[in-house]
Amino acid sequence: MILFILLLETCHQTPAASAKSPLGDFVHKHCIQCHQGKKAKGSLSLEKLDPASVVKNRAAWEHSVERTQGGDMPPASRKVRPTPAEIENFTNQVNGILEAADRLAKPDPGLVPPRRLNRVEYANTLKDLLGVDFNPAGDFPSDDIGHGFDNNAETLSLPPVLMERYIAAAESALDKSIQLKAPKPALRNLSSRYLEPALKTPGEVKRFRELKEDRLFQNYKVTEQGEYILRYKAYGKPGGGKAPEVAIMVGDKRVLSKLTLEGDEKNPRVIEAKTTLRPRQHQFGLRLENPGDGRSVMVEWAEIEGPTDSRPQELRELLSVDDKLTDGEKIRQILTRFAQRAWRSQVDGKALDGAIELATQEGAKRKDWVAGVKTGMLVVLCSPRFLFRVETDDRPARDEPYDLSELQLASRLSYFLWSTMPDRELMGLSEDGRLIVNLDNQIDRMLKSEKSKALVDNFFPQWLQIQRLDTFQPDRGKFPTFNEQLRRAMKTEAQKLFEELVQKDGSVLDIISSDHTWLNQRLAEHYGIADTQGTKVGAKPKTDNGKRIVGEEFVRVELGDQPRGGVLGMAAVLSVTSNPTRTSPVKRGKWVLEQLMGTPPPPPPPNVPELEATAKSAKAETLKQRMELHRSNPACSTCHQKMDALGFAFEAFNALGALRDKDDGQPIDATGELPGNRKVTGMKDVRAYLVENKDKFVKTMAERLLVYALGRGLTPADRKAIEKIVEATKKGDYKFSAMVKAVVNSQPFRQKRGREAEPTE
Amino acid sequence: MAKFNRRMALQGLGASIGLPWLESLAKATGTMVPAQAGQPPVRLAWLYVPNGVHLPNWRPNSEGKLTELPATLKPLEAVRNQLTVLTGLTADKARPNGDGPGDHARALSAFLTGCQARKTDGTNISSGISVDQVAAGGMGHLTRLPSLEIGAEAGAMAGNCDSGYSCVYSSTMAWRSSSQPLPKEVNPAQVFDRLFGATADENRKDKDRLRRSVLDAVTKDASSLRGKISAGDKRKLDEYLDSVRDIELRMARAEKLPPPAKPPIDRPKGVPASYGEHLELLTDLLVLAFQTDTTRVATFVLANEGSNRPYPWLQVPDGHHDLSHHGKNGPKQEKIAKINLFHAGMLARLGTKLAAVREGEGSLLDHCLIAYGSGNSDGDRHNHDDLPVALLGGAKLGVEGNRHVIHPKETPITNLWLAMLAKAGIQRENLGDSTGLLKI
Repeated sequence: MILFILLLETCHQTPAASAKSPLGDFVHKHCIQCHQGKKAKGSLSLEKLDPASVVKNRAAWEHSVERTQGGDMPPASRKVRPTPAEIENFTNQVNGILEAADRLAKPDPGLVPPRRLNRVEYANTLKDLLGVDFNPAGDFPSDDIGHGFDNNAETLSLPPVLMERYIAAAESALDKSIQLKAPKPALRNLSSRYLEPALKTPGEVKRFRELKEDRLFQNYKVTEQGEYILRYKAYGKPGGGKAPEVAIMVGDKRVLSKLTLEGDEKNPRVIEAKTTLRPRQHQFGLRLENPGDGRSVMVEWAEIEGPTDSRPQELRELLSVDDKLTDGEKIRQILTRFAQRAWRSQVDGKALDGAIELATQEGAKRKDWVAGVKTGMLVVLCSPRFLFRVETDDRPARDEPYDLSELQLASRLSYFLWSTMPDRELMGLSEDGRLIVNLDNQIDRMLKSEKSKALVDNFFPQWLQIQRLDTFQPDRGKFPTFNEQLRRAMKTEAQKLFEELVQKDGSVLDIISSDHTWLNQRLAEHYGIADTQGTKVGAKPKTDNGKRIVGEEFVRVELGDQPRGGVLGMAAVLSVTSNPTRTSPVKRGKWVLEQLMGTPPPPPPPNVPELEATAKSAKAETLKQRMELHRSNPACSTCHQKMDALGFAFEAFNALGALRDKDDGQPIDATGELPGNRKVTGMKDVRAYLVENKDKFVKTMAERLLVYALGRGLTPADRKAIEKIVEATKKGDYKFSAMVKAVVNSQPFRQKRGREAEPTE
Repeated sequence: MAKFNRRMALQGLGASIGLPWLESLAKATGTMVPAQAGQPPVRLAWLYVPNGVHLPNWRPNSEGKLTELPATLKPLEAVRNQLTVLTGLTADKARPNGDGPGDHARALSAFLTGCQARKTDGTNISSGISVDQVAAGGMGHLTRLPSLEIGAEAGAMAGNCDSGYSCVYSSTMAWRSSSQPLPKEVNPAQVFDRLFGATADENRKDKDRLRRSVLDAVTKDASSLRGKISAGDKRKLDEYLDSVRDIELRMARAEKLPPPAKPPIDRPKGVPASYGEHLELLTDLLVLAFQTDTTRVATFVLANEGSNRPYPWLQVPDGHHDLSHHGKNGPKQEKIAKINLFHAGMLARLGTKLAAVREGEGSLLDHCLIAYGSGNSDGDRHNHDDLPVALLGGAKLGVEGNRHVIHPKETPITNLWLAMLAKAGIQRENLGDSTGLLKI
């Protein structure tokens, strides 16, 4: 921060614009005519050229560089054009100054206030904690978006209404899940006459059925994993001086227990064996191990009991307690264990005092320590340590960056990739201090896990704004084919791409350009695609590998020469960037620039009507002509040229993303011109343009992923981190996991600092 | 055993008339209304419609007594004697004032606050306390709920909603403080639970007792946490503690209040598929909230500012926001007028229903002041002066009705809000950019 103070001092000594520096040469030749003084165009004054001023006006200069590189500055109306070499030199000058400043600047992981769990995180966390799946967050007010995502620490506020819901949700979750004593297990008792092998006349067995060789068995379908007890009531008839030996078995090979069976008709014995069973069809049996000499087993009945504890594993472990302890000790033990899981951190005694005290009181009052535990758990679930992701700190006043503890890292990692609390493996590793050394492996494991669906569902749709599809209401008059089925199919197609990226570690470049997609029948019909080789409906298939796309299920489709591939060709994206009655080339162009290229056009100047707002526009026939009129307004033209050119290239797709060749009876004109006189026609050219500029795309994605991971907006101090992530992604062959690992290994993710630095200005 | 803890303190103080926290809040925000026996209480509500209106259909032809209702306000015929149309009011803080574009976000966030929203996509959200929350501070202690915030469109959408402004601004009307927007309740079932949930649960008393102990314990824990987090982080913790305290106070208050009214309708099933039915249901719940005196303060956002919802059943398949940039195109303006008429129908429904409830010497509407309007005037121009504003009710509060009042240009709309507060007995010097009390 010292840097900035120094800058302030030098500001007063800033000389007037100097043409002597290389930066000055360029600015004076190409910029200063419009960008100086009080009437500077776009309120952008480029008069002060000393490094300190450049750093101070960082955003303006970065913007200038981008616009110049993009070819839209200086404006086309100026005859003197900068040469590519000049532009490069200008870029290097500005970046050099900024980077020098960044290098001098202290690395700063930024400030992330405690993040309240958002709706998804709350529901997932409670589910993982209690092992009970219900939707406790269904009636929570929706979370506000900050910096594009609903997990932004600043915007996740906690109004009283929500606090009240949290209490109610926790009460109901505990009511539904907490049974400290396992419920009575199911029991199935079967008389021996009904065991296999089946008897022709079961009635002939009065009480005992004789087993002289081999085994008696029964088939039984286990529906819940757990511990089961197999039990028989029987006695053994000895022979040759030996008692019969029997084996209790699962299947015809696995012996659970072998024992010598004695007793007689008046004193049959009950024998049993325990085993853990998976849900499927099983065969339970009793086998005579030493047949011959007249030995036999007389069996009265067989019994299956289980699962002995039908509570979810999570709960069972949380609630297991030694019966010999006093009630107070039981409460303390269970609550401490529970809080450690629920708060995702070590629990020091004091933090839990209130909960334990209340639980003990409540237990004594109700003469039921279980009720006490439940109350204590309610305290734990209503604590800020549960509702927020709190990263506590021993020395909160220091402003030096420091590494997160392993437990804190585990939590950040888990909420980033899974939108839930760390699982036992992550907790275990971090408690042993072995998470960091195993970080890459853990990330791989986490991405492959089903839980990474959270990224698919939360990160990508918010970044690419596909969530807007939920509220998209196209004009049913113009688009009679639209229905909920199509809406769902559009969404699924996008999800499939994201799933491939995350769970199969695909290339992030597949987002902008891909040779395949996933379709079901409804969407394939919408796209006019006949088979899995991307054959156009009505065209002759090029290969005979293609299968017709039938039914609800999504299948992989090779796109061949279809004009789709990547998110650009997806109905989901083409719809959310449309208006209810028509396409919006502006929105589509803006979407590409903003979401994929990271170069959002500046918002329209205030009080300039959006589109079609001039009297003349009513006479212009096509949308394109109307928009060209709009662009004739110099206030609009610079930004619109770029947006519109990109947007028009999508015009072959209607507002639902289906192909068309006419719009309102007018032929489609899918051509546009990008800055630098580059013509684009149709989606293919846009894709080619994006692929050429893939660095920009990767940078944009890295930025969004970092914002999502950190729960805060980015600052110039993050620039270095972003550059590293981009580099690592390239080195990692653009694999999604490479980007994720680089994000996790970045300084802002791994570190934090305490207090707010002194204000700089 | 007789340990004196925070909760006892709260209960004890709650029993004596004023609650300490509310008193201090009242000092900061205005005065507190004493409970008055015999007089029906004053209720205040604010209804918001987005994207401005088609002014030619909204504005009465002449000043003074309403001779003929303008086209958009026709549905209000039955309650016209309690209708005041106000012209000339301005939401200056909805203007850029150097912040560039973002008129939609600013229009809603400035409407009840008179404050310039801080332009941010997420970091340091800030506006100002809104008039309804001032009212809640003044009379919220007299009812089960201090205030009710409802709306037909949820807040969250992807990305920023308007030119660099977080979606919070264009979807939130009520601000508890400059940094705390209050989310709207969208689901009628949830609104119902909030209003009447207390009656449905027979174990309520037991649960409340337990809840209070739980909140007591978490407060202790939260305090122990304070020393272990950085200064910047404490803000979030304070927000938490503030909410906990609010619930504690509400429960303490509820004990002193008569048992909650039995709801005369069944719990709604959820959000109706049709927007019209959704609005009707919310309107009816608002009537019930006032009728049962469960709350006396409400805000109702009919659609978020900048909403691009189509109204196909009105033969308006186009998005509302798109249409609002009509470029003086006749057919588009007609469609906007249709939407305006539809929304005004909800105000009429509210007014008619309130008028049908007898209360004291008159009707419930006589004791209500319902403000209705938009923070944009003409959606095409994005101008924030000359706003379309109407006031309904107040016959027993000295509001004349059946009038069109033209105020001098640039009169802050916050002056009207101060006037509404004053009618409810809340004296407040200023609110946001107010310059004085409007005569109503």
